[in-house]
Amino acid sequence: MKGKKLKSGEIENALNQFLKDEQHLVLGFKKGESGVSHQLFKGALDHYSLVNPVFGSNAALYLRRLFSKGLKVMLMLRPCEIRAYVELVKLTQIEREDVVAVSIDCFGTVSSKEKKDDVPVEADKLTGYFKDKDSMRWACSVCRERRGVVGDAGVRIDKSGDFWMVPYTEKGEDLVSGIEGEFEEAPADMLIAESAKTDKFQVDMGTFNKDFEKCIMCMNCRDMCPVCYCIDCVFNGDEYLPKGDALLNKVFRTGSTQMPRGKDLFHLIRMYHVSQTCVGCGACEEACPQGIPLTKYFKGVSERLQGVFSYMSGRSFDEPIPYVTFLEDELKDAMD
Amino acid sequence: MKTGIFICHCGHNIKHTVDVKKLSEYFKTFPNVTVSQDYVFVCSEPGQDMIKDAIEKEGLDRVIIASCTPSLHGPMFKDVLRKSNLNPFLLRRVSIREHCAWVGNDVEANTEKAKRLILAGLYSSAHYVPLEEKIVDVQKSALVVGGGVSGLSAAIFLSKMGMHVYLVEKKAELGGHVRTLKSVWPAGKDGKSIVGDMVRELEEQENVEIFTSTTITGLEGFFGNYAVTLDTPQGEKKLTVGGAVLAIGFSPFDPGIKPELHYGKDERIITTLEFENNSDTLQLPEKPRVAILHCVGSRDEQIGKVYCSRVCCVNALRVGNALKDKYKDSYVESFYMDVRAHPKGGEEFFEDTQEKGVLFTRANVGEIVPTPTGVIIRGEDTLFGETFEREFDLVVLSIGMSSPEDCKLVANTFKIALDKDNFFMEAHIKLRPFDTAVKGIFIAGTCSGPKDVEESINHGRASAVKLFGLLNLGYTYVDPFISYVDPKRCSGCRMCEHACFSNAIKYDEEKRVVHVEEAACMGCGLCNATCPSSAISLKGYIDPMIDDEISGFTEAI
Repeated sequence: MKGKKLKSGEIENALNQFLKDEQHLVLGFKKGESGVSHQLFKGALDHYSLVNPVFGSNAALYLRRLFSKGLKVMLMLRPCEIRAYVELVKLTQIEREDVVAVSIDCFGTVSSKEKKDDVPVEADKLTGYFKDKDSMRWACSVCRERRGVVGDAGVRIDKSGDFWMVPYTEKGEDLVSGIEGEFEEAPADMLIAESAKTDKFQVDMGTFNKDFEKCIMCMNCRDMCPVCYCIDCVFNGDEYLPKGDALLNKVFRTGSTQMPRGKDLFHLIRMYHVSQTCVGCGACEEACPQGIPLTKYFKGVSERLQGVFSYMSGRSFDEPIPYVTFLEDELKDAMD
Repeated sequence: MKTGIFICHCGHNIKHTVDVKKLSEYFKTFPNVTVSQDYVFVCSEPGQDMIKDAIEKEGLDRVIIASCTPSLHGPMFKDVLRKSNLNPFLLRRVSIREHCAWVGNDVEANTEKAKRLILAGLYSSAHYVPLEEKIVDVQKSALVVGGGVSGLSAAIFLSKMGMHVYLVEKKAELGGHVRTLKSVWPAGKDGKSIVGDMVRELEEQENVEIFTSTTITGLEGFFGNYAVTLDTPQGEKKLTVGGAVLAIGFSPFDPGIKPELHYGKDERIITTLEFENNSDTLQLPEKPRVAILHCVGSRDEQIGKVYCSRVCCVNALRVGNALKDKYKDSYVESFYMDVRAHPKGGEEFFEDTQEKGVLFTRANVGEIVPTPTGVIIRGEDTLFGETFEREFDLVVLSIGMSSPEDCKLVANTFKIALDKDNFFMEAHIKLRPFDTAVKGIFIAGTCSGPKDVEESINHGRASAVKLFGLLNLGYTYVDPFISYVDPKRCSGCRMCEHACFSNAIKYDEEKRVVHVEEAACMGCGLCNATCPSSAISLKGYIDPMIDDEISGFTEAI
């Protein structure tokens, strides 16, 4: 794979160059006083950080229904965020024309809930920090793709700590061409290696009821999920979750009920809706005030489902979403 | 809301095991039920008048009829509503006969179940809205697939009744299997002349187009306006037809599937068809020893063909009869399970054959072994319970009928079902034996199961009559059950567009939402199931309706 080795500060130079156009924006990370957070830069970079070891939300969430004509956005995000972006492009929720998506090698993240002051933000120190997989979020420890190999281009880090920018699409070619330096063969062996085949974890749906008993139906998980894209969720109306008089009517007819109603239904329907596009980022679990292990179920189910269709969400712009394709000879083993 | 509930006794049928009085009393207590009545035959004229009167006097806006299965009398009850100026889609049918009364004899349990079914109907009908049926013209033309005797007889009838007929035959010549028969029992007429007469009769009609060496490559549309694509020797041709009769016939059973018969390995082992065609040139000694095997490829569980092919017994008798006529001193033995000579004159023919000296042995034949001196048959005489081994000069296998070789292809093209033996499935084996589940597509002849020539011809005519009845009306109602999009809820993800088989969903680049092209929508509901935000619904089948229907079944009463 051909790419360009980046000199120190070259990414910032290139991004600042890009931002000189008034119509251009960069979505990336900013080093603030109390840690690193997402920032939509306009004009020039400011305390830019290439990596963000603290996971609060998946930034693809902010890109939904991005159809602007003329304004250009460069995404400098984690692979899971770029993968969610790719899925949203396939679902026509984002106009791909206006976006250049760059995925950056990810070392893993810690939860923003238990923000630790000792987390470094420099790439060279993170390898050491996350040597022990237990120190990162569970979702990251079982992540299938932490390499910056998705989107239009990727920022890769080689074993000696040098940064590379590698294009994957035509748009990526244009981007990398504008960066100082010569194209050369990037080393195949990078710092963030292809995930060792983690054991496929079995989801024990037997514990589902117990785990979701705590749910208070705040629907934060739905709201923070990058690929739960509906403008108007079915759970907003009275159809599934009647309120007020509609609720009283219903209960009057069907008998006493636990409140809030329909917890299982809510999560199962959501699981059915997102399981084909779920990138396993764990934003749902991050958003849950009740500490329900959502990732375990959503990632577990979606990974198996995507496996059935040999699909991986966000891997490619051209791979169609499994539910929208029908092949006569698929799912033979599912018949048993 | 003013709902009228009419509970049918169906004479004795429902009343016998369901307490209809209790039901009608129970529903009187509901606030939105204005009329709750039971009646001996709701489908009778007085029964229909009762509904009409109630609609007019009480101003009903929903009608629930708890009676037989909805597919029976459906159009008739809809007409009752139409005549009373009530939209026919405000009618709800509840099956308390097939789903209740006929299921068991426990009156209490049946009544309880009927109550649930009616309650579900009551709840769901609250969501009904008046729908407008579209009336579309029907093309007065018909496609007949297969040029055998059933296809020919169907084509002749339809063309004589003034329909434009397109007859499609895969082979180069019309006539099917009958053309190859030397004498068709019982009249003894030559198959070629039977077919010849029919073809001549058809060709005399002006409104007939015959396509030989032609196959069907595509079919789209619905009853009244099917678009058919043909692959003819002259190239692709497109037709528009109102309906079709499928008469693609059968395949003769291939005895080579059963290796123990050694068919095809020795020329002294032949089928009834081969005997028929080559009887003049057969080399047999003066006193030939001939065995005839019944039920080859029929009533055989081992090869998965448990059905009786109906024609092979008479064929076997004809072989024995012919041999005895030609060789007086021949030894002819028929190995049978039982002789089913059911057509008119069949039993007499059986007796005649016995009198001529054909021996009948009830037997299970184990194997046929060709040797230089003769062909040995080993088996068990099932009357005496003894095994036997006999030598013959000739063995004739009375083969049955298998499903036509193109059955799956044609079934896929016309979207009709196959039965367990891969013959075409009737809509109802007794009540609608010529219909398929698809409106305007009929089946004729042996493609729906083994038949003799006479039955096939009659079957072809009957299907033609049924199709003519539909086409001659000139118009048809199109169900108003089509999808519609709530643009406020649509996220424009276009998942439904991929799910739609009939290209009815179109994406608006400007508004970033989809809409449904009504004329193309088939009302299958696939888009409904695909939409994550329930932005697409099917008119007449909205989500809350189904939800409330389930409540009717499950809630505490």
